Amino acid sequence: MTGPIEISLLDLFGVASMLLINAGLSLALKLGLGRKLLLTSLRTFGQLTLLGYVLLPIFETRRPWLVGLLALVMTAIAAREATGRSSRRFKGVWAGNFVAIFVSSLVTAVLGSAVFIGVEPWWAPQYFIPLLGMILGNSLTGVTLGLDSTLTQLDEQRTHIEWRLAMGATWWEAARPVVRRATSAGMIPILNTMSVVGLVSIPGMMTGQLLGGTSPEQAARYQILILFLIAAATALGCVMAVLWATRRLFDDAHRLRMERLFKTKR
Amino acid sequence: MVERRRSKAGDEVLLEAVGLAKKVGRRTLFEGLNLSVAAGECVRLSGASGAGKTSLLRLLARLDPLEPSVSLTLDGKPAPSWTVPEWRSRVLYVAQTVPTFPDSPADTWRATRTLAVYGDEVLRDPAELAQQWGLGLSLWSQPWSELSGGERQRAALAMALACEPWVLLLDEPTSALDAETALAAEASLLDFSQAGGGILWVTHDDAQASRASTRQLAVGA
Repeated sequence: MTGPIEISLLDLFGVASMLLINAGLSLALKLGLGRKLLLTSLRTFGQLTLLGYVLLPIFETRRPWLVGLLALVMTAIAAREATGRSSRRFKGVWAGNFVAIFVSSLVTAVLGSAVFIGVEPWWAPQYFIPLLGMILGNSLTGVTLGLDSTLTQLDEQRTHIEWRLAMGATWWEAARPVVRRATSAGMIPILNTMSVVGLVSIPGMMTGQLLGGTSPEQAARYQILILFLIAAATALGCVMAVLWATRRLFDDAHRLRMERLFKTKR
Repeated sequence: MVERRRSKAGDEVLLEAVGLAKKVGRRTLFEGLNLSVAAGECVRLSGASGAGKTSLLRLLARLDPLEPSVSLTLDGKPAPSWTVPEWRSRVLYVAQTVPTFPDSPADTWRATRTLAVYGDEVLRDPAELAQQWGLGLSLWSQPWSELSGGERQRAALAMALACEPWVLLLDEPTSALDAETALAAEASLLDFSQAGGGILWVTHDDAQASRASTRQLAVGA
């Protein structure tokens, strides 16, 4: 079997016409999304095209430091994105998100590449970068949702938490319900995905491999592997971010320090 | 761990604070405030609304940061020698508004009596206590959201008493109760102080204050 049919730039302009549906709806219902639609479409085009050009030399030269640099940049962008999406912030949130995403994604991506797939060398960019990218995207979601749930709960249920503290609870005893709910909030999307995958949706990676000519059986196995890696990374990243945020908003005297939390303007 | 229960000893000082201060922004609510609560005492905090009565109770429960110059002792031992949860289980603060927990009072009580600070102590049954104030036993298994303000207040007060603290910090504990029920709750508070407990409370009911309080302390700059 040969590779997939090539897509030209002209083809892309053609498919951009599909976005007219969004534009038409925005206009008809006065959603005011025109500007945002144009900008995000351009971002998609620009970012992915750029990625193509960035990946080319990395794939060809196969230098470990280049792979490492790209991995670092990707993680930093993910952490920034996770911070930016939250409606509330505290000092140290960026660092916490970075560590949570970095550790969870890197550990699972390295394990996946080196141990489970058995790539030689484990950092071979053709495997490692797409693997890391997929894991990062999902860990980012877990971190964002978990963090947002934590901060919202702490903010809105302050009286609940302080009541428990006043009854003699340690900070951890008082915060446990918050942590529990936030962690499950962060993990629900990936669990939902895993429960309908193959029935309702064929995930992007499997689609790609099928288009590339991989046998459906192998493509399915790759997809299962990646989903399990993603699930682990999401859980790990989410729990780390949630625990960090919770710990930062209590002090050593088991007091809830809400003045450390501030709302962002968005 | 220190034994939580204590034998009653009349007018022995339980809680003592020297140099309490509270600022909100640049405004000073109070400063240089000293107070003590002895066993058997029921001290009423008086002062205009906004004078800082609630802030004072929160400081004593160590829910808000204290100025380093403040000296706080319980049973003669300085605050830092107690762990904070130990302190709060003995100097127990009951906020004016009981939060609407997602579960029922029975669930809340189960979570409370299993806190690490209570170890494997057998605490009193708050449902039995609150029954004396007309709170039906069946209410304990209903969600907090279905309870009236007065019912919540009684359930919360009963749980606080059941924890057997040394000092109770009460912020308008009977504000949502009718006169008769408030009297019954007052009687239980009196039992508590006569058994060697100390009470520091805020109440806007002057008649109640003069009935139950042993003395008064003014808050305000």
